[in-house]
Amino acid sequence: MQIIEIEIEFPGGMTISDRASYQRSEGKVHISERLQRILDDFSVSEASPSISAVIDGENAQLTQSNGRWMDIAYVGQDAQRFWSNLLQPFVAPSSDQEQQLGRFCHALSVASLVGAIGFWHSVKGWTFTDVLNCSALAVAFVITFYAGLRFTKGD
Amino acid sequence: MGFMALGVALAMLGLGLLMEHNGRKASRERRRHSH
Repeated sequence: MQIIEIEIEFPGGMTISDRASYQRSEGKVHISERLQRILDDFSVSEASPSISAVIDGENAQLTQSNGRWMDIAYVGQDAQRFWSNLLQPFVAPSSDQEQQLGRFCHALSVASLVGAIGFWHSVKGWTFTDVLNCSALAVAFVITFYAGLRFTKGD
Repeated sequence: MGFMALGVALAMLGLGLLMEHNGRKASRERRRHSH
């Protein structure tokens, strides 16, 4: 058995936070008699509420099944979780992840600088395209160097 | 070659700015939930 926090939100705007016991073996949540009575009282004047809980880090939606017992339906489906995990570094990155991008940008800036210098020395007769290529590498160096400095700043 | 490097640089800058923006938004939401 595990104690979990549950949140009951009524369409009228009222929200009740309480604790309940989660019976892992049965996959059910057991609420207190006091909360049951409140839900019964409010069912007269309020539309049915949305009951949610966080179980093992997953958002779960609860539905009243039998008296004080509630059934669990996980909101985070497998496919949904896969995409949210995949996009997490871009959607909600930690400051460490931002700093890693900054380091990667600095690696790219070194590559651009070395590329520009190597290009400069390898060209014998300068053409317009050579100038453009070399300038583009120099600009890429400046941009990635600035990006690296900016993203390694941290909090 | 130079333009490819420039394209990558701009893409990295864009990606970083997006991450920075989202990171700020996520930490603001985390702070709001913790209060």
